[in-house]
Formats: sequence, C-alpha cells, structure tokens
Amino acid sequence: MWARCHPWGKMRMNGFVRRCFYLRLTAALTIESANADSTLKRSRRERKNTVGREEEEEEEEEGKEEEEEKGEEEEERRRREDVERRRGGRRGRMERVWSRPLSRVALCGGTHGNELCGVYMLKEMQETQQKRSGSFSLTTVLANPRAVDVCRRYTENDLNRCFTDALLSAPITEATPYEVRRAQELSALLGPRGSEEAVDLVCDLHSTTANMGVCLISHLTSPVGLHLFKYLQEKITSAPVRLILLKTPLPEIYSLESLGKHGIAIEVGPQPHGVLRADVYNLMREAVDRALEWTESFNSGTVFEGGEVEVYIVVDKKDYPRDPETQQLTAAIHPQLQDNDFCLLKPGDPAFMSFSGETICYEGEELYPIFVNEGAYYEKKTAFQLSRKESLLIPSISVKKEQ
Amino acid sequence: MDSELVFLPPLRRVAICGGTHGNELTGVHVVRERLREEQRKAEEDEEEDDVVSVACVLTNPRAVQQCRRYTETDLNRCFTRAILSSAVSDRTPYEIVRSQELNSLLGPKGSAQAVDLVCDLHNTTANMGLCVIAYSDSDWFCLHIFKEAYSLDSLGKHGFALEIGPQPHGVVRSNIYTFMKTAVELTLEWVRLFNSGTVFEGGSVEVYTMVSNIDYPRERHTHNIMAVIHPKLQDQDFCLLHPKDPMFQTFSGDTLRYKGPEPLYAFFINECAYYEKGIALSLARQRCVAIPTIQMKSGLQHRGEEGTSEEED
Repeated sequence: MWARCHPWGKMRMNGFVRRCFYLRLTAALTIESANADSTLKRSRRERKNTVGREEEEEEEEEGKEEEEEKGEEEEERRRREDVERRRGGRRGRMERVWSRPLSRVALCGGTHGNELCGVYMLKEMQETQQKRSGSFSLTTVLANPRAVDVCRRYTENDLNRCFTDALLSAPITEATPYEVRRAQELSALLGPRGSEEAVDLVCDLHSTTANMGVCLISHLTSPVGLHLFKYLQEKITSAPVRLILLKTPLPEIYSLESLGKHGIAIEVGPQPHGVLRADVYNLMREAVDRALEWTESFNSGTVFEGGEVEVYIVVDKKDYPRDPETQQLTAAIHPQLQDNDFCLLKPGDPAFMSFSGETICYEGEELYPIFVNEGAYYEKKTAFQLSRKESLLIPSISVKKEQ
Repeated sequence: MDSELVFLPPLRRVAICGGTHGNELTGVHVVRERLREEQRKAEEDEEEDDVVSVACVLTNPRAVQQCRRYTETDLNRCFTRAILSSAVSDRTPYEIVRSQELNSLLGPKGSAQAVDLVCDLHNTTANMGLCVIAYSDSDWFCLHIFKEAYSLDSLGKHGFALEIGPQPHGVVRSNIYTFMKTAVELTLEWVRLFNSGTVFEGGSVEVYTMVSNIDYPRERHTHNIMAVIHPKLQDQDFCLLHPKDPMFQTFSGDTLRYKGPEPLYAFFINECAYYEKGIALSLARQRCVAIPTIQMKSGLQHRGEEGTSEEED
C-alpha cells in the first residue's frame, strides 16, 4: 500500500501542516488495511473520498484568497478544525512517518525505444548484478522491446500514455495496439496499481532532448518518493536535480511508474533520441545507484530527516505557432528560451522565433518552463510545459518493520 | 596555380533541397520558408530573379511527414547509376522510386539538362558546426563557395551538401535554422555575383578527406554496442585524435583507446543515424588544396561528369 501526498496550488506553512496530517492519515490507513483485499478496496474508496473533500476545500480556500488576502486567523481556525477531525487514526509523532520496507524494486528502461540510456542501463545491470543479499530484490524490465528493436519512441501508441484505468481494463482484440497490450502485461507484472501485489518501488528511466539535467517525475508522491528525491539532490553534484509533479486525476494517471506502490520516472537530458552520450549515461547511472543506495539504507532502518524540498508542479503547456491550415510549425523555440529550462519565464519574454525572423513573446503568468523543445512533444502539440515552483516541508521517515 | 584564371560557365539553375532525411528538420523548414517566400513574391507580382533560377525541393516528403530518416531505405544512398536505372515495380522501395523522380527533376545525372548546382541541406547530432561536404577536390565551384562558402548533390553538374550540427533529429533549434538559412542565402549571393562576372580570387582552402570509419565495440552475437564515445572525444569533432587517446567508454566505465597508426581528425562523432551503419566516428586527413581564380564566361559548357561520384559512402 502506498501513502500519497497531494501537491497543492499555494503552499503556506499553516496550510502545509494540514496537508501533512492528511499524508500521515493516509499512511496510517494503508498500513492498517494491508492484509485484507476487501479492506484494501475500502481504503482506496476512503482515500478517494478524502481526496475529494480535500480538493473541494482547496478550491474554496483559493477562491477566498483571490478576493483578498485572508487573515492568518481564518487559516489557523480552519487548520485546527481539520486537526480535530482527523485526530483518530493518528500514529506516532507528528514529525515522522513510517512506511513499509521496499522489498521489491523494479527498474524499467526502454519505455520509449529511442531513449537509450535506460535501455543500456538495464543491460549493464543485468550483466553485473550481484546477488542481492541486501534488503530488496531488483527486477529489471525492458518495457517496450519492439520499440527498442527499431529504435523508435513507440510502434503504434506511446506506451507511457497507456496506463490509465480505462486502457488497463480495455478488452484486448486483434486490433488492439501493441503498446496497449504491453501496458496490460506490465500491469500484471508490476501491479496491479493500488493492490497489495504491486511492487514497492518502480523507477522508470527516460531521456529528453531538453536541457533538464536530472529530473524525478511523479504523478503522486509519497514521503518515500519525496525522500528519494531529497537524497538524490543532496548526493548528485554534477548536474541539477529537480522534482516535477503532475497533477493528474487518479483514473487518468497514464505513466508506467504509477504501477508501483511508489513510483518515479528518472529523466536525464539533454540527449538526442537514438544517441547515447557518455556524460548523460553516467549521470543516469549515478541517479540509479543513489536511488538503490537510499532504498537499501531506508530498509535497514535509517531515519531520514525531514526538511524542505522545492518542487515544480506542471500547470500548463504551450504549443508552437502553427499554420492554421497545414498545422506545420511556423516558428521554433527562441534562442533566449532554448536550453533555459527551469529559468523563470515572464510575460513579454521571447518564447518563439518565426522562420522569417520575428520574435513572438510569451503571454501568461510567470512560470517555470520545462521540457523546452523536447523532440517527442512536437506531435503532442507541446513546445514547452509550464510549472509553478513550490516548497514542501516533508516529515522524517523511517521504515516500519513488519510484525 | 593561384595566379591562373579559370573560366567557368554560369550557374543558371540551382536547386536547394531539404528533407532528404525526414527528421533533419532544419532543411525542411528552410525549404518551406523559401517556398512561402516565393509564393508571396508571386502573389505580389515581384520580378523574378534573372541571374539565377532557384528551385526549392522537399525531397523525401513521406519521411518528412513521419519525421523519420527514411521510410524504407536511405534516400541519400539511392543516387548511384545502378539504382537510378533499375526497373521499378510495386515492390520497389519508396525512396528508390523517389530518387528516380528526383533524377528526372534535377538531372538526369551527367546530362546537359541537369541543374547546374544542387545544394542539399542536412543536420547531424555531431558537433560539427557548418560543413560543406563535396565529393571532389577539383570542383572549383564547391571549393570557392566554401572558401567564401552517390548522394543527391551528385545529380547536378555540381553539388554539395551543407551539413550543420549539433541538433537532435526530430528537433529544430532556432540558432541552427538561422545559421543554415544564412548559409543558403550566402551561397545564392555568391552564385549571383559569379554569374554577374565577379572574379573570385584563388587561394588555398583547408579540406578534410575521409580516410576511414570506426564502429562501436559490439557484442559478437547480438551486435549490441558495448561502449559509447568517450566523454573526452564527445563533441570534439575536427580535433586531432592521436594514437592512445581515449575513444570509447564501456558501460562499466573502462576506457578504450584509439589504436590507429597515425593521428587523424575525427568527425561525425556520435551521429545518431550512423549507429545502424556501423559508424561511431569517421577519420580524416587534413590538407590544403590550392584553387584557381575563377570567372564566369558565357558560352562554355559545364563538364557534367566533373565532381560526381559513383561510390556510396
């Protein structure tokens, strides 16, 4: 079972304490109901109901704040009410959460067949993997072997968009695209998502043509995922390490790493698709080694202190300017934006340069651009995504030994 | 030789080609932009250029539409005389059918009807800057254009490829696009000046002549690569590679070194499309070629065979 922490639009210290309680409550629920399927399903419904209530409260709070800055007193009053409501189910001290050991870890590569770091990382780990006498078993999975064979992102459908509830439960016919079938195979192998059988941690390896360094990407984060990120960010010094959160409604979560009880995608760049660069490969190797190192340490009982982490929450995307009839591009990413992922983009900043030489400026909120000029996103009508930067205060974490 | 004046016929018909490899996007967008510009001029009844006639051609539209290098076979290996004269059937690969169409349009290769100059636009993932790739060291047009400024460019009486990188395939970078567009404009400006009688002084140009290719170390049975270009060699195109210099790094971190007998210049280092061709990098010797002073003279014939190549890479 897994605990979740929802990213919020606006982060305030007081608001965070409320959310931290939600996180702890969810963890408590999941631990208690670990041993019974029926209890499992009930817990999922409870979590969903809790999520719904939380989202409603968030919208209400933001609506008030848009009219005028609500006083701290109003915020504090609401926070106390939430604490009282959730006091039952509390487990342990407020400052720490416990999570079950990560006994089964899956490392996936080749989800996109032309993102070669992951493909070759898997081969290397398969060949050199020592018998893990440590605390977890490691499974390596070549997610999309057909796409790897032809060195293309996918053969029929983007595999990393095939893990929605709808596609995972779709009936299989002869006409079913290869990647949809493969997603269901992977779900049986690594999931099913939300079940007791799901592997504890899925790491899915990707590369990007965008200048993003090392990024961890997740739809839903647990303290496990947040602490994994914090550890990598502390240990990796050769490139920036950042966490990207995607706010996707539960049934629409589409990516492979979501199959596990905890899941992260590790994205490294810039690297052209179909190319393997030593510096980028080495960076990914370091990220994977550190992730496994953290897992071993966590399982062994290390207490990882909480703290503040900076995260980027994806809120929007921008397409290229296109010819309305042909849909062909009429501009490219402006040289002043190119390679400047995670640099604040302000209204009026150059965003595109047309093929005839005119500058087209960005119009919108001040946000952080990511995936700037990712080669695979031209067909997804995305020139870059836009994210909001927030600070999250995460609790300490340690393993809960099973009785 | 540089004091000798060589008279050459005018270059009246020039073809600018893009999308020969469908995922090398700079050429695609340069050609599209030029076609848009031509359409605009036609709509506004602007005078046509009477010094040079320029045709812009998207050579592999199917590959462009799919954003792939090719659909069935590499178009830029389909211009040998054997392939150009082969019989076409329902099973003929698209690119072979297309190469014969292009040969009718821009050639026929080696004939008097062929366009005077073909300029074919390409990208590479290698850090090569802007390269002029020609197949003869005595094609004075190509060398003068470079000096100021098997394959498709062999269709014309004279031809060269403009290769620019680094750019990932399937991506268009604005600075690379601007660079290529400027290079094409400078090429055409040179042609206009030449056709107008300008004397272009001879001199000496540095050229790199390919000597050999080196493949990645590969597993014997699976043919999978076992190492990548070493970080010290990555992006160092046109730097001299000495014997014992690091060349590859294995996935376990070991260094493999260059074992050739002589120092050579490495280029096309880690070109994506060459993994399947068994090429990790190419090696070249550098030398200086003396080129004569040239001037246009009407009434002369182009030597259609000059500078063309029968051989594939």
